[in-house]
Amino acid sequence: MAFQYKNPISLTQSSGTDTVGRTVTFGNTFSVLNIGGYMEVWELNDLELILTASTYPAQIQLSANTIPINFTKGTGSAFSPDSISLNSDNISSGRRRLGMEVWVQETNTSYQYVIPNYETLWNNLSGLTGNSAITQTDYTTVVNNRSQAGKNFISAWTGSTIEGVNGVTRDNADGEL
Amino acid sequence: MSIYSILVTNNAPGCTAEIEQQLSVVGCSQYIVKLTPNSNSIGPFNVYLDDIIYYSDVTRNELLDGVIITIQCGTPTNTPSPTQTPTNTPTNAAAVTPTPTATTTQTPTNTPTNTTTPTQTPTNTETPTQTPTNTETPTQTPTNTETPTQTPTPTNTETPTQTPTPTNTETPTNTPTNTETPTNTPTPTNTETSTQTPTPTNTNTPTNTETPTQTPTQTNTETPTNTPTPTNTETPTNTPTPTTTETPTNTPTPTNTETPTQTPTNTETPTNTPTPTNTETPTNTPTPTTTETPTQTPTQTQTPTNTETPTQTPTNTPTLTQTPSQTTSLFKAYLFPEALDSTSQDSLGQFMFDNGADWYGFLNSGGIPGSSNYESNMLTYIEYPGWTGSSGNFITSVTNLTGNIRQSSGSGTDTFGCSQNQYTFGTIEVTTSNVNPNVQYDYSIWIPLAGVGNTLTNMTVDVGSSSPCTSNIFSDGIPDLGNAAIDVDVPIGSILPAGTYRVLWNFVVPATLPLGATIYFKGDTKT
Repeated sequence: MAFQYKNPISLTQSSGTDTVGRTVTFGNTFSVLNIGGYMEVWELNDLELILTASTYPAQIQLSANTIPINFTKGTGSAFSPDSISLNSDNISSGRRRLGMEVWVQETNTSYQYVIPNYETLWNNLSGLTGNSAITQTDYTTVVNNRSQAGKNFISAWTGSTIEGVNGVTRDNADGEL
Repeated sequence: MSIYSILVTNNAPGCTAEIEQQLSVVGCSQYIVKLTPNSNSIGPFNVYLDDIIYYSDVTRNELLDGVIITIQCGTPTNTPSPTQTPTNTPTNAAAVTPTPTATTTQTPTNTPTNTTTPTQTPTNTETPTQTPTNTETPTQTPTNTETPTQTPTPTNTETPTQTPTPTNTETPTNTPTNTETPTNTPTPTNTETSTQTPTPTNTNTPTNTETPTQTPTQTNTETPTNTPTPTNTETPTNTPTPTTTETPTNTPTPTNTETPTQTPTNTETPTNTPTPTNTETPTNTPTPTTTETPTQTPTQTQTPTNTETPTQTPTNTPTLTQTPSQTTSLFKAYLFPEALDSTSQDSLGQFMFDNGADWYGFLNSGGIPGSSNYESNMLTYIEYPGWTGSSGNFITSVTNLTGNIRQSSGSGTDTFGCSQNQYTFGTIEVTTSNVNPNVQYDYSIWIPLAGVGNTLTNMTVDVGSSSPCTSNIFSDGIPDLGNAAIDVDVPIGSILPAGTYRVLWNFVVPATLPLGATIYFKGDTKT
């Protein structure tokens, strides 16, 4: 199936655009708190994903909770698989969105978050049925790891490889300059 | 031909002179009586025709000019103004004609005089106009009579209204009327009116009407609550039923009489049997029930006990009858707090898996259920024993986390004083004792479709903390639209009253632990 992009929606929808007064000195939010876009962090570690839960199932959080995805680590039982929950645009999860850029102070470099073969990975989910199938609702799409296609899809989101770091090249990185 | 006599008398003081002349008249004729110019008579004079006075007090000058006497010409002419006569006189023949004409003209002149009279008549008419004014007075009187009747309502208001009316000179008339008012029983009537003042209370009556409606409803609501509860209570009673295993021990004891005594105990068991059969609730419960069944099997001697069973079966029937009563009396929304800690999820997930679901809970499945097998997954979900409370972090029975659905049109206030629109649910309070404040929960809200006018596209939800009527957590939160459109037909015997439900999903609270204050859920707008 061809990937069909759509703007995401969520449970809470604004009735108007939030702004600030012309003379105030504060902003609406911090760039790192948005979903996708352009952000700034201090270290490369802020781009990594680290499991911090002590028990499972649980949603994982980045050690610094800098730019998380919505990933649930299950117990591995029949009813508790690993799963990733995408926002309803199906190209973002948590605060990461494909195409976003992050400037890292430590390396004075901007990195772009990409999953090069994303459409292929997505299409491979289309034939799944039963409890391996993806679950799509108004605001989320959940992909579990009961199938190989599901595992591949989740790995692409959680891989967090960075080109130029630890021997990762452009071909095998999911975050590239 | 007729003979007439014209007599002229000089009425001057001391004078007795008079002159008379006879005339032979044929047809209409006019004669001029004049004083000769050389006469020195002063007058005044009277002129008579056949001894009947024709002119009186005629002056010398008038008689010098002459006065006219008309004979046999019909209506006479007293009126003739002698002044005109001379004017016509110069024209002899013509003078005759115009004279009567002038007479005629004068006649209508009199007519308007009469017209004036009627003009006075209306003046009299005005008098009667005043009469009706009096008529109004009595009209007000009866109004006062009605006053007592109206007194109940805002008699006071009307009374002053009448007061201005009397402002018209009639005021005095009204004043006494007012005096009568208090004098009249009305006063006591007013006293009673206070009771009627409640008439506004009557206005509230409809509000009261709702109250009773709720009253029975609640009564019913409690009924079902009790129904399942005992069912559960009995269930454990079944567990001891294995104690019934002791029964056989009694069986050998010749005391057969005791056996039947226990029989009813067994009888209850089957009563429970149908319950779980309906509810499946205790899909877990039934399991042990099944285990007990064989225990009963050996006791085939109790077969007659089965005969009693059907007798109890109808007892269940009335229970069914109550269920619909609940459905029609008062509708409530039920809040299901699904604990997201690993232990709770493991328990729920195992239950769902064991019962054939393909969605295992919010965290186990990574989110809310999808539309695939949605209803069957939901029916399994509500059978989870934890919903009755007192089970790990499933602390509070969902039957205690409810909000009444407003049936009346328009908006009002719920039991917390928060505004509530028609077909939305009132505030549901979740204290930090109702849930584990150190655990995150995914809340789903079950809405009986019959309670929202049998149609529901979606319902926005406000969620706030610390105080009712707030929405600082979710303001007009929009539940998952797809799931909100799917019917879930809950059967009899479930923890919820039987009926068709819609489930509102996607409320994970708190965003960060711990939960520091009571939270409040309230329906905002139904679509």
